[in-house]
Amino acid sequence: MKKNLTILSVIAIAAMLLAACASNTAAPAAEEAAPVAEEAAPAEEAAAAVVIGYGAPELSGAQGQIMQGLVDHSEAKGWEVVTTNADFDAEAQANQMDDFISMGVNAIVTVPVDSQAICSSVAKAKEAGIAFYTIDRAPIGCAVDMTVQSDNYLAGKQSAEAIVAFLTEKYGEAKGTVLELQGDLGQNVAQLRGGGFNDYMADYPNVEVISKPTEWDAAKFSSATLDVAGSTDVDAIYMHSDSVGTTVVLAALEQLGKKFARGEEGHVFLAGVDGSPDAMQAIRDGWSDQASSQPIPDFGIIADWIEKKLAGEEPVEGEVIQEGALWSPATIVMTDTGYQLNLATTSVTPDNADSAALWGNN
Amino acid sequence: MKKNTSKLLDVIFENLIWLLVAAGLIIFSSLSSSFRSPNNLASLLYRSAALGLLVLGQSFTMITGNFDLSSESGLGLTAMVAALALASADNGGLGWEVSPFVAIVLMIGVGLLIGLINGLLITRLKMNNLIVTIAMQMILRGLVYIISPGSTASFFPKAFDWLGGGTLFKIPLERGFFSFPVATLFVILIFVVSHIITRYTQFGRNMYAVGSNLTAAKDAGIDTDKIVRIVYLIDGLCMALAGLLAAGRLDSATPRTGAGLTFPVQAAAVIGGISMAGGRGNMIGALGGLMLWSILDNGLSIMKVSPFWIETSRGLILLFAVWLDAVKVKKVHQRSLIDILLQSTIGLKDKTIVKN
Repeated sequence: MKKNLTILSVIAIAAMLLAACASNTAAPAAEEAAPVAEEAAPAEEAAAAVVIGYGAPELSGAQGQIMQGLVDHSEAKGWEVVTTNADFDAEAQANQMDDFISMGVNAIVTVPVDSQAICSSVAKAKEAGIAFYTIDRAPIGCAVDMTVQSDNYLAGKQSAEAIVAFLTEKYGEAKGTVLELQGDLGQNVAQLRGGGFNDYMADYPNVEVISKPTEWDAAKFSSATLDVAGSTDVDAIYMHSDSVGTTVVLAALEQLGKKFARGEEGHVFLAGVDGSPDAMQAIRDGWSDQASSQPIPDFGIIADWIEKKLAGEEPVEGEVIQEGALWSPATIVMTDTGYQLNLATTSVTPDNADSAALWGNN
Repeated sequence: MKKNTSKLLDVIFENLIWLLVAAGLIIFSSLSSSFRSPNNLASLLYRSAALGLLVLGQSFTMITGNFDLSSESGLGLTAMVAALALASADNGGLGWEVSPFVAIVLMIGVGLLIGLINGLLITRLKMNNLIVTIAMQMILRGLVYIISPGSTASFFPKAFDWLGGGTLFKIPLERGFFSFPVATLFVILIFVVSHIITRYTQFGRNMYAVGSNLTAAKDAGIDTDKIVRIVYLIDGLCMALAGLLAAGRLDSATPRTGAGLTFPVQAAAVIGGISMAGGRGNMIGALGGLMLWSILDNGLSIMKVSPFWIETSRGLILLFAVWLDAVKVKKVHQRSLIDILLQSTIGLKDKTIVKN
């Protein structure tokens, strides 16, 4: 009796596994319509549709939009994208990369969970002759075919321009005090966001910039604001990340009794990089003023360069211009981690804060 | 005739895990040419090598009726210790740049120390093994964050990476190479050695005795506390080897290396037939549990099944394994009852009456 039950449950589990596989392969992949027939395998390879393996580090917030952007751009070319989610686990991501290599995908695209740990997967993919691309973060210590990311230097410069314009209007000349809330300065991203900002500010010697490191930590955004804005009159605040900073900085200003809406006397001009939903809302509500918005859904245009690579064409260094695109003009530069495609950020002000093209509004 | 079939069923019952492994291999191989490619098959154990060492350590403790929930953090700590000693200051290390041999000795030392502390707390201070090891999991993970640079330490000498990430030979294929991962061979080898130790040595038999009936083992003159302490030392060694495999494979260690492995470790051991109640199961079965885990992970992923289904299928297999374990426990109880009745001169001697 019990033995029968055991046998029955073995059969049931085997059947479920089969069903799970069969139902899934049958639905999305037309070229694999007959997966059960073993001899169909060579035909499936001969069909030679381009398959892209996409490894997401996690899928909350902006990451979901980055993935959708890649899927949209790839499907527009008639390609298939296989997506996986590593859920912040570098080893799980390495397994997923191994699976892509076993599947023989044409190219792998990933947002690395860890910029250094991804290098072992890059080496394996290279050995298997599979092109490798990263989005949003370049690897550290190895070279990929291309990394697409925001032009973080431009983003810093755009915020600086907005702050200088505000100060000039307020005082009749560019002078005053600005608090810069820095990211993790060990990272390239924060260095560039700071560099673009401070290089522009260097032309305005009457503007004093007070810089405080925050390591992208919301608590440090808050305490630095309390310390500096509490002891000096700050005209403007520039945040290396408005997704981390907007709400906590506004809360800190409120605590100090210095939170005034745009147009009121004593308003502290708020600028930042990212263009997060928080920042968009704060700009519309009149608390914040400028955001250098990342072209997050446009990271998917890396598909254009994958297409070129598959056709045997290498990227060319220089400017890339596409009329009407938010990310244009972009630049391609060769670095020791491979080609980098830096997409332009969009300076968001109250005038264009409602634009549906911005990732923060989707 | 009837007796023979029942015996055959017993054998099947005991080796069910390998039937499931075979079924998994056959099903996925027939469905996907990517799955049955030599490189993929060879990497089935490679991808779960670090997990495998933790399953092995867990199996040792579970056979004596104890648990270890600290091993995922032990893996993380040993990996980070080695990484800090190996990597240059630019790559997140301490800049000591010790030789791979020193680093491996260092991490094995740390692993043994963890095992020693676990064992002493459980046997000397008579603390509950489950809670002790949960506490250790937190303490060790905290230590990883304390000693780490807060980021990744990476880029080790090739010799250090060899066991976790190296390959034995390279045969050119139409596209790329076929290469056999060292880690796959290492995992199989170490499971076989452990199987021999647990099955064919006095120490191994004592382990089973402690796990199946602690009082009886004590009465028989076995130093049960010593057995448990040794088992936790072995477990600590397994953590260090797992750390070596994990760090070698990724050529780096992050503060989160190994995090989240505790449940897969338990699951793979139980699926492999290691009893939650202690005293039953064997290492080769545990290797089967690990393989099934890996086959499901890799096979379903290659078949492009959604990760949610992968998780669900694992849960179902685990439920099935626990149910199987419960049936076995019941069967053992029935058998010992029969034995007692048979030995009794007062009771009925007719087997058929008490037979199920």
